[in-house]
Amino acid sequence: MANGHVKQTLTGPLSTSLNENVSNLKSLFDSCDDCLFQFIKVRQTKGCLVYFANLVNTQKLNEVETRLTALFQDKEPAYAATRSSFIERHFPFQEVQEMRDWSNVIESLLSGKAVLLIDHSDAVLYFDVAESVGRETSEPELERTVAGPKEGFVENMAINLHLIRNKIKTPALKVKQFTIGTRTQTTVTVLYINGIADDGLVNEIHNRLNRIEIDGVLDTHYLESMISDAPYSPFPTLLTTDRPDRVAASLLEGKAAILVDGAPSALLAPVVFVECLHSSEDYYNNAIISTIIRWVRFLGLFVVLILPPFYVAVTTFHQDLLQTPLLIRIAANRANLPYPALIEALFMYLTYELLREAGLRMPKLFGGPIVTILGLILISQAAVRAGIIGPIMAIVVATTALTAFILPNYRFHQVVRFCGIPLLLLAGFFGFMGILVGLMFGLTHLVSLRSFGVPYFSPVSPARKEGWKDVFIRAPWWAMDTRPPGIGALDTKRSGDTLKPNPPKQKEETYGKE
Amino acid sequence: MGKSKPFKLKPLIFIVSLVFLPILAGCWSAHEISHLAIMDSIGIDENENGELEVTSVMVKPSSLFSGLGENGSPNQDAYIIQTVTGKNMVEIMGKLSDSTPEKLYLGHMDVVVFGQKAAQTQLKDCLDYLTRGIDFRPNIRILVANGTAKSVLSNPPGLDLSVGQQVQELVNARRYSMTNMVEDLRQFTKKMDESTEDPYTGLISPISLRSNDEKPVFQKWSASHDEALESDKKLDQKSSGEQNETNSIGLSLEGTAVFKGSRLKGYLNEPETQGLMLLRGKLQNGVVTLDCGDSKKGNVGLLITDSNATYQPKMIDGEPSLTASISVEADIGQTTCQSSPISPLKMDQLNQELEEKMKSEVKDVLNLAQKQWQTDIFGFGEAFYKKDPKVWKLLEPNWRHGLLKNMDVDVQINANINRYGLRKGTIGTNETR
Repeated sequence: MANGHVKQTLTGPLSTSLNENVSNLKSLFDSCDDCLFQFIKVRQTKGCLVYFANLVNTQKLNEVETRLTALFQDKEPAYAATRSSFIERHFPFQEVQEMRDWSNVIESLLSGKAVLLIDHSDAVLYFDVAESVGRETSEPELERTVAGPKEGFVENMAINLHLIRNKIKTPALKVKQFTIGTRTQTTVTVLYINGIADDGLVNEIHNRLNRIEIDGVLDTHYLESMISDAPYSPFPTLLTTDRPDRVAASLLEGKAAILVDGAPSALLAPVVFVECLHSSEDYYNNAIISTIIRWVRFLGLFVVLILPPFYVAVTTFHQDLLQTPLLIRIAANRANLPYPALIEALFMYLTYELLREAGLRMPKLFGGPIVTILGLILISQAAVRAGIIGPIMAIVVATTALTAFILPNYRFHQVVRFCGIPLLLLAGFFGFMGILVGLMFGLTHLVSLRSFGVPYFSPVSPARKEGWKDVFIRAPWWAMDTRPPGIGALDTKRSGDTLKPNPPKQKEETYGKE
Repeated sequence: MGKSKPFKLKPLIFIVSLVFLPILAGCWSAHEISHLAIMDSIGIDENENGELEVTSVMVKPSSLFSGLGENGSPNQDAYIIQTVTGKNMVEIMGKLSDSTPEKLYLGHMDVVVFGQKAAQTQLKDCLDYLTRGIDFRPNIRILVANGTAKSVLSNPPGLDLSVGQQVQELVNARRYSMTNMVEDLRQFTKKMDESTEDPYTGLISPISLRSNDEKPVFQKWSASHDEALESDKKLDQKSSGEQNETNSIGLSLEGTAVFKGSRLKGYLNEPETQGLMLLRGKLQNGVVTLDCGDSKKGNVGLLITDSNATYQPKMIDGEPSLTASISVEADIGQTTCQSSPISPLKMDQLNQELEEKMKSEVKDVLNLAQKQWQTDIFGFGEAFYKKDPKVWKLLEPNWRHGLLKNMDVDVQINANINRYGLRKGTIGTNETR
């Protein structure tokens, strides 16, 4: 193009002249040395096989060439090969198709297909010889469980879809594909189960996705930030998960999932607050055990939020609340410390965050998390010895930092961890009054959030009692006969009515008689 | 391509000021825990000039635990004991605060000890300060010292963190304690404010833990006695002498200080205190020793486990009279009787014996408090008031001027020994060997 600019794209139909087509492609892929043009002779006609050397599987490509050579012993003119009838006859497995449009040709080339241009024909053949790369399915990294499936999403969309289809084998599982990203041309799929998921929800997701104009989508979060309901809220209104089983479970509840090619996680919508405290494992364990673990998690949430603010408020404002021996103990521990409790707490928080970030970025060889924890312990120990912070503060911050990992969802974990800092400041300035006001503001914000039309705090507020069987407790599976309310599931009935195990009352003799 | 807009400062300023305004406020009510002078207990005495003399005990937490690493026990000189004199409590607290580098913190005070003299004269005014002050808790224990309050508070605590804690523990650890009539500020002032009851509280005095010889004899004292001042002085000398041998000094709850209105009237000793507790139905722990009855040798140690008392006030010909029904439950703790193993008959005997004993204790305390001092520590007036407030209106003016003194109190005791433990006879009963 003018001014030495490289041609950006080609549009419209192909020409019938091989030379023109090839030169067009060559100028388009100028300076793309990995794009190879291999001229072959197909009977009497000239042809040119174009492909990206690094995207194709050489073995497959060789097979195609051999086959082509064998095929074109035929009497027909070579350009007849670009007729559908010919393809159907000789390439029955769809690994080859015909195309007449430049944009399709370019897209195919870039996704690792080999294109055969033939003289005298304005159609091309393309062969699917793409090399598949990427890691094998492995255990989910972010949401680990002891019980339950151990397979996690990988970066390859085909594998991810495969994993979900493996779990839900019904034609009602719809997979709608989008291409988002003007430059990355990333495939995005929306999954839902027809007949369970609300049509309005599905349409809304489609609309929100269609609205996106961006040059690249490299991870689910790109989309999440653009389609979420509350762009300024730190709380996730779409749930990120890397567990196919969790996606399957959510689909069965009437939610929709969004998969992005190249991202090893899926987005689930809509999401409610309590789900951020649920782990897949809850559903694979005994109901009573799961319920207790859930309560522990609720407790953990409160510990993470208010333990350091509580300690700061008590030692700065509300000494009256302590027992006398404890008061004297704490006073003794804090005697001669140079900084107020608030500064100490902030210092410890900061230290922990620094260590944690360093631990995350640290090469695995050095042992990341262990270094973090050890560092935290050693540094707090040394700080206590040096008389910079009090020993109880070290206990409080270390407890909080480790308790934060009780929260099963990583995004949520991050948010809650940082919510402690404003609360800490409020506690340091205003005592319990500050904590209460801070929590009230937080709660107000949470209650006001919506995720694709579903109130974020449902089914607690607005109260939907039938949903509580999966909020405060985890009811046994025979009791969870309806899908969670509020999501708008079309078919709310989940299972039969008489699922509760009801063993026969008779004693062993009954079995003996058989 | 959109043109980038110039950066707007206004919202930024708004946010920044939102963040910094609270900091500028300065956290005026914040007091770091390490900058508090934690006052543990105060003792209130009256000196010769009629001025108040307040002894305050402050805890030094840092030195309390400084030696903790090595021997594990709190450091002994971890207290600041200061004595300040002044005309009233406000003045004294002001002086105290002037001489203390940190903020005086009164919210965790455990006990207020009144010296005998102060309890007679200054109690009302001091309680006014204590109940008015915002820092004080209503559950501070009020105690009266058999002597001066200073002598009580100058003792280093034995097992507990501080003197105040030690007294708290003395009061709370009720097992085998039969002298527990300690009241807190709220109960005490409530009784003082109302005419239907008179206040009473525990009597505390320093004792030597090393040997029994040095234990000051319980000074049976009452305001009506003329030699009050003299005995007071004696006590003063004694306790100031004891102050020097620090390690052997402990504290003991010895009886009950009885008030009439806001004035200290006298002390009850242990059996009398037990009688008072019985009458009030408060005796939950107590030890009674009974004779075996048939044989001279041996005795039975009983543990009182529970008691209950109800008053039935009556008006007979315009004269008040009252029946106090008391039920006592007890266990046999030890028996050294040589006679036959415990039988129903024996139990009946013991019950009767217990009833007699209890009755005499109750009579004693009634004699002393009702007849001699004319104070209503039993809450008889409350019983009349509860039955019929109108009747009480009539009785009230003359209640402490004759009516109470002349009132007939019928005491009915029902004792019930419930358990004899795991063995019926005494150990080694079979003497035929």
